[in-house]
Amino acid sequence: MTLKSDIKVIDFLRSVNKCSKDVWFLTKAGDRINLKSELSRYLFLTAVSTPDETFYNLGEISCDNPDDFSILTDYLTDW
Amino acid sequence: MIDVYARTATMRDMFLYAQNLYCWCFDSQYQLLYSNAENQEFFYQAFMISSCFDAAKKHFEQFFTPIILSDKTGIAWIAAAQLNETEQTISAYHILGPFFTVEASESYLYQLCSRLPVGSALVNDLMKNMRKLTTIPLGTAIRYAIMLHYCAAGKQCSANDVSLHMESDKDVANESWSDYNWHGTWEMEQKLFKQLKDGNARNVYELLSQFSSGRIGSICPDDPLRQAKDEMIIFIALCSRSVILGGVSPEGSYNLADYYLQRVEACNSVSDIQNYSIEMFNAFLHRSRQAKKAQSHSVPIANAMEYIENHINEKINLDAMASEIGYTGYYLSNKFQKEVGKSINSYIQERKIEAAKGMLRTSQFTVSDVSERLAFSSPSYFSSIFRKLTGMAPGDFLKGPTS
Repeated sequence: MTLKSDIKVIDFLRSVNKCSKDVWFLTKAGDRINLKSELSRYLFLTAVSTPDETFYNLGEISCDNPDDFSILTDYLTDW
Repeated sequence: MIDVYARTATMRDMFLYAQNLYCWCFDSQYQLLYSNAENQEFFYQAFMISSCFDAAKKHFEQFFTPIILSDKTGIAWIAAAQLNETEQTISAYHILGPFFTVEASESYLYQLCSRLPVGSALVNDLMKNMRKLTTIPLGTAIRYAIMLHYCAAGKQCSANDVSLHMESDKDVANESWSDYNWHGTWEMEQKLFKQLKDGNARNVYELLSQFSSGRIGSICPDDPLRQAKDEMIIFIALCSRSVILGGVSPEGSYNLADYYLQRVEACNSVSDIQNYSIEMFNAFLHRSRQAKKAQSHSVPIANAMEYIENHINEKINLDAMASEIGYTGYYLSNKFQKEVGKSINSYIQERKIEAAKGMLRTSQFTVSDVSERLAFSSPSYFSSIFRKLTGMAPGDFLKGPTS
């Protein structure tokens, strides 16, 4: 599942905090960014601030606990 | 309110141009009102999603005092609250940052990133943002917190009032003890202690300002005062050995070290310890320089000078001193006068007044305190000698710019 293009990054990451297990952002370049890790979040901010791309081109979201997807529903899309 | 804006506007420019430190202003709901940061969106988001933001919110739910916050990567911020007119609630938050603490740095972050399953392109992009950040030791950050609090709240506070929230990544900390750049100070230490050994004061205070560790928890988790004391103890030991290598007698160096070790242990705040660090370093530097000068004097005179330094806080009796050195008082007096060009008593007075100036500069002591510590018979006698040798009263020296 990928991120919607109009989300507020701060709100999204605060929702990630509520997830029970790790949440990953997987870029098309092969990066695996753990969105629960402080340093990785800085990398995520760097990735999503790349000026030439929108969220849905960058990568997809993966949750170690599938139930956590329900917490992030408002931010995700199937495309 | 107008005063707050005037103070904070001036402060913003000062911190930006003098330290490359960005300022942020948030309203009571943490909505951003203003920032002068470059790449503002990135750093704004970085703050809002970090543990530092959560810690700041929690702190200001209970306190109005400033706080220094650092996350696990070593990126830090300083926060202070602006109160409303009744001073009952917070109307705005003023933040300085981000900056690196002394241990964290660009290379440290690079090392952390190398462990992650991410490509170098993304890491390089992150580093482009991080390269803009300045590095500030903890002692300096505490001073900035006091300044920020005054600008925001219009009130003074002391270092004791500044809270610290420093997160550490234990896995990284353990591994990095062997890292050449762990403290980022090895080269600086080498330069500092060489200059101390040589009695060379050039640029030494700039080196000294970088000495303080910025990472609470590396020795004493959650205890900034104990951390600061332990660092000072190590620093005193290193200074003591450096000056011995520079020609100061071991006894003289150990006596001086013992004196400052006792004073540091009695400190109740981090800022007191930092004030002593400068006084202590000056004292060792002076001893080292005296040792260099004494090498140009004969053995009896060099020994007499050292005796005086070792007993500067006592009433010095000429006969007792001469006896300890192995001469008569008469012989030592005459030889001292011929070689140094002044009487022993004049020399002792000059040295005590120099020590007094050092104490008064730290603003830790009153004139009476200094008089008593240097074993003058009375504060008025001390004042008269001080005025005779410096041209001003000790009270005026205490108030005015340092000479």
